[in-house]
Amino acid sequence: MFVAFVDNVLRPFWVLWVIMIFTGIVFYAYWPKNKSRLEEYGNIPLRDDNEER
Amino acid sequence: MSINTEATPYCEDVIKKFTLAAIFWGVVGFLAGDFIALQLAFPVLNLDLEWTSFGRLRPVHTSAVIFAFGGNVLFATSLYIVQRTSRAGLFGGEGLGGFVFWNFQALIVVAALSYVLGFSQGQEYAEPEWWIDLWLTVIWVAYLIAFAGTIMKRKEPHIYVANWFFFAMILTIAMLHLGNNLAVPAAFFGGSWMKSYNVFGGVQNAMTQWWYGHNAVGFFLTAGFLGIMYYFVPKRAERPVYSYRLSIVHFWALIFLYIWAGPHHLHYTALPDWAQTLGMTFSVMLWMPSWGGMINGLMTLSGAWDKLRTDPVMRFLVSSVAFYGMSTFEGPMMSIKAVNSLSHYTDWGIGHVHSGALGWVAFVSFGALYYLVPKLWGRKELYSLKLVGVHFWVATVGIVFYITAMWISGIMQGLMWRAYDNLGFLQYSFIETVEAMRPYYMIRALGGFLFVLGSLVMVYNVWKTIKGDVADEAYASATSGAR
Repeated sequence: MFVAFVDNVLRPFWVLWVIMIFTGIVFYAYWPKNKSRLEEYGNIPLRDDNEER
Repeated sequence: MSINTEATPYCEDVIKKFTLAAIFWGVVGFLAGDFIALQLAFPVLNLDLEWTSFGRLRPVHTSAVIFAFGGNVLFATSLYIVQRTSRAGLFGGEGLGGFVFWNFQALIVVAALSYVLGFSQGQEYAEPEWWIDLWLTVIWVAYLIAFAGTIMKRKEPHIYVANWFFFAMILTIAMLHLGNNLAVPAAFFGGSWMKSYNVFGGVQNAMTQWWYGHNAVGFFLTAGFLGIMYYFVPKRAERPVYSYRLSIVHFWALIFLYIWAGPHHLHYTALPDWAQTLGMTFSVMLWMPSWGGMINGLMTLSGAWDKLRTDPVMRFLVSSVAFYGMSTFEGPMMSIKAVNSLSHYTDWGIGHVHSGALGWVAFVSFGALYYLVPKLWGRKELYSLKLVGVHFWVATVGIVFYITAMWISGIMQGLMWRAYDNLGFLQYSFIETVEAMRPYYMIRALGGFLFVLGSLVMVYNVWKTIKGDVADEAYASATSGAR
């Protein structure tokens, strides 16, 4: 059942679902609501120094 | 947040070892490269010995710079970054790290010896024979465990983007290494322990080879070193990456596209036409994530461009990203079949590889190493930032000599190969093209020499820094005060 689904649906239409996944990622990344949370992650490397050793 | 108030015991001894090994193998690999460049200009340097012939020393050079230098840089930086950005000590500690370190260094020596003694699988950039491949697999799995284990015990909830690039590098290299090295050892049938036969033959073998070969560029020399960029550029510039959202799109676009680009190495061969066109199309599309990444790296400096003038370490990092942009523009262009019909098999390819390898990979590595050394050995700043500037300019002039010589030589070579006289005969014999290229081989060797010279300046600077000396106190404190 699953193998048949992969063979008959997923394999021939790989271009389509790969594009859909990628478009989804772009929408997720640039969704206005996610902006402040995602950009905050950029500060992770800047916070790792002073507590060492 | 409370997680920032607790001290995290980072494993740094093993990072120090990888850092020193990277510098050592860098110099060895650059020297080997310049020596074989001189062999092309002056064939007498083959010394009439089988062990020192170009054919055996060339894989010594490529493996030394890609895997010994690049590999040790990646081990050092990835294991440093994953601890810092996870705020967790290395999984497996110094023990597992040391296991990876000593086995990897021993493997480099054994692989190099095997090339010099004339043993090779004949797969480019995957020359070591089958039992050396199996040994590398063990080392790589240990590395994966150390890296992934550190991520799993992280105290930082989010996995920083640099680690995504390193993780993609580790997983993809494991897949490529196993795929391209599928071979039947002759030893199993009473033959030599130093001989094996790849399970693929003909064009299947060629396609597997370049699926491996191009993704070694894409995932080892690009994804891995982009991980370095995403940590050390923000760190040295003391500002977050220009756009974290762009870095997410950059990562996934690169991952989706790169794996398909390999067939552009096989234009106009027995590889089916559709596969060649597929490879070309994906290579051209790769321009977008590449330049997205470049913009993200460069724009991180936005508002702090003066650091380019005052901080030579920053200059290395930023120039490397500029070189990345340049060679990732050139690459897609060369993958277009019409262009490739001129550029393929010529020195243009060598020039392209070195603008990426010297300008991008080596420069971003130098920037990272110059950042790491004072940090790891507890110094305020390097022995001399002035010497970093000297290294930068000597190496940059060397690269310019190298790539311009190869552009001219390669395009000339391609044009000479396709030139016909009015009777329809080829106008030039092969040896005439070789004669015409000789002056450019000398210029290339000079460029390589300057690159080696620059790396020796780095060795001196690093050695003095570790000793604890400070050369230009005023200069150092002026810039480190700003940091």
